[in-house]
Amino acid sequence: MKQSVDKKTSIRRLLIRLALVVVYAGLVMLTFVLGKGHSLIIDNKDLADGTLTAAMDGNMVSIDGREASEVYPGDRIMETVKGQTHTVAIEDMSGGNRIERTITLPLGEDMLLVSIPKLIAGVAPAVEVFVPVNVAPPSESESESKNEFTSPDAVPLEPLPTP
Amino acid sequence: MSGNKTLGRFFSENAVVIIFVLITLAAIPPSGLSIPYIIQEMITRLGRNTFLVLALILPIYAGMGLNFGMTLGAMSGQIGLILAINWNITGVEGLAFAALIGTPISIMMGYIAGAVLNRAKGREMVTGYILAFFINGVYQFVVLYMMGSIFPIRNPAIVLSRGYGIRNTLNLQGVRQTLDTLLLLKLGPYMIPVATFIVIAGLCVFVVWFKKTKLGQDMRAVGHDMAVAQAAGIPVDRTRIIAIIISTVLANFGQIIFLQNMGNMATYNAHDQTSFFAVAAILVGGASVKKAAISNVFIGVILLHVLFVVTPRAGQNLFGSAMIGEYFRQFIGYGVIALTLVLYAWKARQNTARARESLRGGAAGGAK
Repeated sequence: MKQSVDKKTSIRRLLIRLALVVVYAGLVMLTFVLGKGHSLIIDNKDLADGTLTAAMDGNMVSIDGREASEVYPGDRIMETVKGQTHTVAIEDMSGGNRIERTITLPLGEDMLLVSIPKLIAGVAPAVEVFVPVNVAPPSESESESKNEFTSPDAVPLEPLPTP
Repeated sequence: MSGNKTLGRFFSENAVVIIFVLITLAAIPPSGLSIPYIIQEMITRLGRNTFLVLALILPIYAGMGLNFGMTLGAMSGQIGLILAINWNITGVEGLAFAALIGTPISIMMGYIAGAVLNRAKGREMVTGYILAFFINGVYQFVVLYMMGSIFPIRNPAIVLSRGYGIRNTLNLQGVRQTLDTLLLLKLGPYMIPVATFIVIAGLCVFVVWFKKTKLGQDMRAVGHDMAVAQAAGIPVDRTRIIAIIISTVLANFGQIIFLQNMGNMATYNAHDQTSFFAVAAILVGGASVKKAAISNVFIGVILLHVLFVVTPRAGQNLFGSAMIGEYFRQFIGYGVIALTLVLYAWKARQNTARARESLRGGAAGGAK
């Protein structure tokens, strides 16, 4: 009889301990998700394919109700945010039209590019992962370049004529 | 006659505090610093250091002396902060994340320290001091070689250029003063970090409550006399290990609070002086190897840090070199620890002699 009680107690104790471990892991995850910081690059450039262009007079852009920044065509500004869901308010500096968009950032990415023209037009995805140029891995064709000290598409100079 | 004896006893019991108050008062005028400036510095430094010093109380209560092994907890907190910076966890959540990561590590470290100290009963302080050096080696191995090679580190800003190992100094920009500025109260010319003081007050309440619990009473009994506690059925070794684990976990939190206030972290030596200054502070506050109270912590932090603030300037103004003040700062820190230990040994010897004398007197009286 006593043995069965002991067994019950030990199982209950084990379950409580497991629950505590799960709660602890949950707390770690919660702080991770809530506190995860991201650097947002607010990009007000025309799209490469020419389908969308930045507003001529620029925009006032504010994230999560912070003080708005002036972003002119071709500008990029950086903001740091905490958490995954944010509200971007964009106001046209000429007409005063104001739109608000909610963006959701991927948890694992630190640096992201937010395209203002895409946000205004409602084109997805307006948020893309930003890879700084100096750490971008070279593509297969680039790595085959024999001329290591110039850009891959550079035109090799003709040797100078000897006098 | 009796009044003289009482006065003499008061001076001998509070020698360290009195000496410190006198030196501090003497150093303030030549420093040329204004009183509001010194008060603001004290508010900041109280918030920064008090938690760490409070971590020393329970081991003293359990008769284990000054826990120089609290450095182990400080290292755990630093590992938590490194990981928070690595994953870019910012704000108060970043501090909570670092504390949550550091806690299991500090529990493990505290258990190791407690088990070692149980094998060195009576020599806990020196053992803890040396143990901290040993664990420092393990910490350096983990941070300098394993992080980035075995444990993946994704933030290139914190990794050494060779590809593994953490840089010498880390910028804690994401968590810098987030606790201090969470609830910042402006009271006249002073800025008061209310949230930090709430956390400290919470720990004070915990210490007071803990002392009244069964475990707290067991610790008191163990601290008073281990043999009697053992005979009374108290698991002495287990109780001592728990005291050290709690102290180590608190040191983990304390180091995180300390570093968030500083805003940067010397990866390989931020923890070196943690126990040294915490011990110096509690001793300056009037604690001894056997007795410490919360009031000792606050008095000690204020006195030690007033001296730390004023001596470099006093040295500069009196001798033309701030280095004299810096030297004085180190000298005072080590000097206070040495003086307290000597006074403690001297008092213990005096008490033994007094007890022996009274025993002889009692025996003689009985024979008559």
